[in-house]
Amino acid sequence: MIQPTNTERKTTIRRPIAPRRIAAAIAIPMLLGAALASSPASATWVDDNCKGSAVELSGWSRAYASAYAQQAVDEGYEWGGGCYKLNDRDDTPNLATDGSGEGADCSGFVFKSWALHQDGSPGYRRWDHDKDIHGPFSTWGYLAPRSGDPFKELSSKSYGATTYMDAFVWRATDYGHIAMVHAEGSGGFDYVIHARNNDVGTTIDYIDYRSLSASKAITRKAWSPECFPKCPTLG
Amino acid sequence: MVTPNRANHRRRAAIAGVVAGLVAGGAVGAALLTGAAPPADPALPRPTILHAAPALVTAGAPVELTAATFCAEPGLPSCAISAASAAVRPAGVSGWTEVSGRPDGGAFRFAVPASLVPPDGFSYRLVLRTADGVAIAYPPGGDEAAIRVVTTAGLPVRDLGVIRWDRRRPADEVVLRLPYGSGDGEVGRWGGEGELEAIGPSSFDVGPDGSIAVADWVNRRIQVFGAAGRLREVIASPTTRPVDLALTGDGGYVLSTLGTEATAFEVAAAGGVLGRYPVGFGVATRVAASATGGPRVQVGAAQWAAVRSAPGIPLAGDEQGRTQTTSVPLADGDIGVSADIDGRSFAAVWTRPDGSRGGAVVRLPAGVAPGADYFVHPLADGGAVVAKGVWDDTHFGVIVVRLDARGRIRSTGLLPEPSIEQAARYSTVRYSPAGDVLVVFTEPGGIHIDRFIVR
Repeated sequence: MIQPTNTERKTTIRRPIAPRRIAAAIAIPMLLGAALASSPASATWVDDNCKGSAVELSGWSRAYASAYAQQAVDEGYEWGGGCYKLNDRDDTPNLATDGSGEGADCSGFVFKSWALHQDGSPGYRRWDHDKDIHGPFSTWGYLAPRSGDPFKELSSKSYGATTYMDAFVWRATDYGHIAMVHAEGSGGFDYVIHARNNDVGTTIDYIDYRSLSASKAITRKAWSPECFPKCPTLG
Repeated sequence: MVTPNRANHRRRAAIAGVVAGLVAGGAVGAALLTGAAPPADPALPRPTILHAAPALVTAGAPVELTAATFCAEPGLPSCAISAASAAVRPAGVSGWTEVSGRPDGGAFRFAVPASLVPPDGFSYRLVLRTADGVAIAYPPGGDEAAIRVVTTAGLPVRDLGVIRWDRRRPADEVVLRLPYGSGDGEVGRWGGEGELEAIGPSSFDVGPDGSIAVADWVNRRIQVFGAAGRLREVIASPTTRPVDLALTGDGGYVLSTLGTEATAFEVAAAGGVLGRYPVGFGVATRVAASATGGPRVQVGAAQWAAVRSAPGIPLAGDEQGRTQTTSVPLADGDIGVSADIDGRSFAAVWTRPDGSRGGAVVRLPAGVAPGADYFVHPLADGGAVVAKGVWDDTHFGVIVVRLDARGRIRSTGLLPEPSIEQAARYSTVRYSPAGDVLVVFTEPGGIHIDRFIVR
């Protein structure tokens, strides 16, 4: 069985807080907050800029996902992050890649663009761009979907088998990456939209992720039809 | 309760609105009829058109073109596309035929009928109109910028034969091995753990004397190695981003960042930056040196655009559009180009020494798809060497095909998958002026560039 590395577990997989930890989760930040109140310089960019929330929806189409993702292009990149300030620039270009700066990483960007739930359950949850959330899935998770996950592997990587906003995920020895198809290209290439890295941020590129031997094609389960939310009623 | 005054005001407002609507609608309608577009508000975001051109098609068969857009605020009328069309002109015909675009899968598809695809090919350009009435042409630059498509008419069809994924050709020689690091003779690598995609040296190219230039973007430099593998010189990179790189005929360099809003650079042999040129449209994927030395940037499949008129003098976007061509001529004027035909075969065409066209359609075995078009290099005997990616759901390889002047396959070889850590994907496989193929690979602790002799 494929397991994430310890580094990934620590830095990119954020899980729901268990109820018995709520008291500690409230008390510790309160104490820390009181202690740090006299040193405002300790607040991170995320602390200052990520006040977003989320809303439960009855559907989420590929068009919605595409529009959501496009707004993040030219913004920053943050390993394990998930918060965007939509101003067409990287607000924290000089921070370390895990320095509580702007942006999502590749798997967090897919999580938010696909409007997934934090606990991985079915349904649709639109996260504000300035909500700092990564979601529970790393590239390891996308690479080997379990039956209960809100996404699945497609049977083929051919152009006929995929649609826009599906994704290609792959793992090398020590790292992985996932990118969504913004538009199909040719010759194994696609216009992909992805949170790439701390130097170039979130971008659209023309890349051959489709044809890499290590890549797999992944799709969100239960995409809403493109007519959503104004689909004609049958019968 | 509505008072008479308020009712009159509402009536006047309604009439004024209708009149204004008619005037505005008439203006938009007139603009649509005449082709004139209302002036675009420069403060509003506008779509970037993404289009992969088909360089080669089958004569007498329908062709499907696709175009997608990217825009920062997709919900705004200035970003939303309300209509799309392709103006198509068959070779030898003076008029343009409009083919409407059909929205499908987040893109527009244009079904060019077989009647518009004669043996001599056709030209086309795309026009997408935003919901606020602005027309965006692709390529920019009007009729002169139309993309030219040629057909495979007259080319022989050859079967590649069986591909054995477990029988890759071993390299004949490792020509350069570079460990990761920041010292001389080392190259940087970004990421490479957890969710951080690794990007090593972003490109390399080989000169006529066998020297190899490596774009060591992480360390903000270009390192040049002699034919024997010794570091010869180090040149500062003009950008902090990953770049593609190509050598010019006079020992200089052209570079381009990759993706949208790219910038190309021209660097003298001694290292001085001769020019910085914004790329006016499309998505940059690679750069080549033109026969006159300036950079040409591939902004979409089979679309190479010049970005400057003279060293240091950039071309505007519409001027760049008018320069775009399917391929970049070599220093001797020869060209070579390959492209997918139907998802199961690819075609390669080139100029022979007498100026005539050589080429072939190469059918791949069942289940194997054509991949990256690395290069088609014409040879003095009238044949060519073609390097082409091939792939299926779990494999990727580089097929090197030696074709003779009549398009017959003389030899083939399946090379291993190149490094997936080089950002300039098309430049992972290079034709060496010595007649060999060079491929970059990743290994634990570094990269190596291997030579494969074309037999």
